Order: sequence, then C-alpha cells, then structure tokens
Amino acid sequence: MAFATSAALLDAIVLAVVAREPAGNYGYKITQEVKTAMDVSESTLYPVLRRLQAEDCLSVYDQPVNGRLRRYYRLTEKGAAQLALYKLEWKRYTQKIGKLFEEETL
Amino acid sequence: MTRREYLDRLSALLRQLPSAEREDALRYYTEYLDAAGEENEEAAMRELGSPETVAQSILEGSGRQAASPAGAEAGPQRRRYGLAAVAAALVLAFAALLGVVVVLNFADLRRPSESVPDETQSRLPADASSASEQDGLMTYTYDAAQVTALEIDLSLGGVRLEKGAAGTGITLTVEPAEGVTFREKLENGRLKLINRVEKQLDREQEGPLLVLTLPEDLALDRVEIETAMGSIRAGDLSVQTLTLATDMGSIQTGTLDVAGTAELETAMGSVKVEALNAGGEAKLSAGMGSMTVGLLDAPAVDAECGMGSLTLTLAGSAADYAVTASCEMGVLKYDGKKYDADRKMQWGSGSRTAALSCDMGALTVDFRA
Repeated sequence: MAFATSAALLDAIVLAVVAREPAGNYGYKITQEVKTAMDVSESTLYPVLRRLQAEDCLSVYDQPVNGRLRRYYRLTEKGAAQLALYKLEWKRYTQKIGKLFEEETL
Repeated sequence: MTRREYLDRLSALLRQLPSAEREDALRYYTEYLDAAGEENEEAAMRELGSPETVAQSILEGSGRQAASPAGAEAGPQRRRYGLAAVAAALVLAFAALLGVVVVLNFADLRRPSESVPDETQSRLPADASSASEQDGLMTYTYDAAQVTALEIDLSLGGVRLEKGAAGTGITLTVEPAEGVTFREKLENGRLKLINRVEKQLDREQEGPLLVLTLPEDLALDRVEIETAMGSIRAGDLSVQTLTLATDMGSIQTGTLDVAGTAELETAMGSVKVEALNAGGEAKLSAGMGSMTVGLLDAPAVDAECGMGSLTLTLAGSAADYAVTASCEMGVLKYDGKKYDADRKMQWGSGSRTAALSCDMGALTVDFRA
C-alpha cells in the first residue's frame, strides 16, 4: 500500500479481527486475517497480541484442538472500548480526507 | 531448516528473556506452525522470516534489544558528560553561534539506539483511555492504577508535572505543534511520551509544553524525563528511581524523594533542585551547564562537572563522608576550602561516599546538618 500504516492502526485492525469471533480467535488465523487488510510481516503479530493482552485489551484461554492446546484471544471490555474509539477516530479521519479528496476533483 | 531447528534456534535467541516470557513466545510459534498444518509448515516458516527476525520483534516488543553478536545483553545506557561530550557540546555551541539549527542535531544525538516512531497520525489516541481535542489542545486521560512508570523524551518543548486530587486519573494536555510528532504509549505500566522534530524549524521556537497532572496519591516506580532544549518543571516528587536530563533546557523542581537511584544531568542547561533525598546513589552531571542542589541527602554521591558549575549542599557534616575527588583544570571548593590544578584527593572515612570530579568547571560542596 502506498500509505504508511501506523502501530495504532495495526492495533485497531487486530482488535477488529479478534472481535469478529465472539468465542475467540487464535494466532495463526488472526495473522492471516490481518494480512487481508494490511501488509504486515507475520512476525509483528505476536508482540502486538502480547502487548494488547498486557494492556488488558485482550484476554486468552486455552482449548484443546486435535489433541493439542490452542490459545484463543478474546476482546475484553477495555478492548471493546478501545476498538470503538479507534473506529470513531478512523471515521473522522477518513471523512476529513474523503472530503478533501472530493473537493479537489470539483 | 526443519521445524525443530527453527524453534530451537528461536529458543536460543530468546535466552535473555525471563523463562515465562520465552516459553510463551515459543508456545505461540509452535501453535502457529501447528495451525498452519504440516503441509504448509515450510511456507509458514518462510513467511515468518528467519528465527533472527522473529526473535528481534519479540525482544523489541518486550522492551529489550536483540543480543549483540558477542551475546552481551545491551542494557539501557546512560550517557555521561565527560570531557569528550563537553567537546561535542562545544562544537554544537559554535554551530549554534553560526546560526545552524541544532535542534535536529540534538534530536539525533539524544537516543542513537531508538529510532523515531513511524507514526504518521500523531493524534490518534493509541493508549489513553480517552482523548479529546478542545481549543487546539489535546487532552489524554489515563487510569492511574495502570501507570507505574513515566518515560518522557522530548526533542522539542518541555514538560510540567502538576499535582491532582488523590484518586483521580492522570491527565495530559499537549498543544499540537506543526512539524513535531507526538506519541503517547502506555505499555506494561510504562507511560511513554515522546516527541520528535520532523522538519527543520526556521524560527526560534520554545516548543510545545506537555502538562501532566498526576494524582497526589500516585506511587510511581520510575520517572525518566529527558529533553533536548525544553524545560522540566516539577514540584515535590516522590518516586522509586528518578532520571531528569536536559541537553540545553532547564530543570526546576521542589523536593525530590527517591527511594533508589537518582540521576540529574545537563549538557549545557541549568538545573535547580531544592532538595534531593535518595535512598540509593545520587548521580549528578553538569557538563557545561549549571546545577544547584539545595540539600542532598544520599548514602552515595557521584558528582561530575565538565566545564559548568555544580553547587551542592550535602546533608550532615564532612565527617560523615568518605570522599574521592579529582580536579583537573577546574576549581573545587570543598567544605570551605579551595583546591585547584590537577589533583586527586581523598578525605574522611565516613559511612557515606562521595565521588567528586571537576574537569574544567567549578564544583562547590558544602554541608548542612
């Protein structure tokens, strides 16, 4: 993408991806889904998940899948609030830029 | 590289992490490769990048630096303003006289190991529990219970700490300035506030002021504030460990109560501290600037004065201290007596220690019971 992506935007996308699965989502799948929206390297996701967990935006639980434990990430209340804030900011941001772009073509 | 080799290599590269953190990371990547499935394992490893790449992002994420080739852990290093730094500061001072803008130089100098945050949206509230804008001022609030450390690093502008009512949140107001990127981040209890000058400023600018209101019952483990040219203002402060540093700005505080180590540094600025009580070592460095500590009460004092002036009043009497002092071309006044010209001295055998060094400046030490 031509536009630089910020750490905050990555946080927002990760929260949004996790929020799509109310029962929780796991590392590999989160990575694949984030990559559909944003060009990031796979290795950046773990630190982000860990930080969001430390910040109480995500909680984790383990569940056996095919005889092995798998760690699932779920949105906390704080995570949901943070995501709502991001969405609001994003809307304002894109509206402003959208308006600017439209004016330019007139 | 097989999956086993990949994970073993990653484990070796993460040895500097506490075992719980290392196991968490290894587990994540083991599960990751599990989830990719045996047939996609190789592709998944390729996409993740080398174990070195993965390890680096984990170490950076945990606030550590990747191990150097020698394997030594690169811990945070504090700069000392010795003669070399004084010389560097002199060069910069001449540059300033010649009308060269030094702001950018200082911004680069400040943290060679830390890259400028690649934020393009400096106002997006990344970590505050709320953020709002009014009259051109951004206000962020944080849950005080979430914050145990304060790290402020400013290329431009200063910071003022104010006291708020007990039980309230932490409030930060920032005036957004053109050409200055501001970033706030709350991570593992560390509230980090950073700004960077993005472009050359063609006029003299005092720079934006950060006003941070801390509830008076807030107990902080660590406070670290560094500015290039801005001022640091604080009233009384009580904290576990403290670092206040400014290159060319000024620092003014009331009484600083520090349970552990306290550091005060300036390259060319001025520092005025009413009183400093430290449970651990007090490290003071005045470079080419001036520093005054009204009353210093610490079991160990390390005071260094390049070409500036450093004036200390130590708690107790000279008999309480075991002192080593060196004086190259500067002037040392110790307990009313004056020493100069290339001398190394030792006095006393008290239980407290003081290491005093005066290269070319004026270091004055008095006592008050």
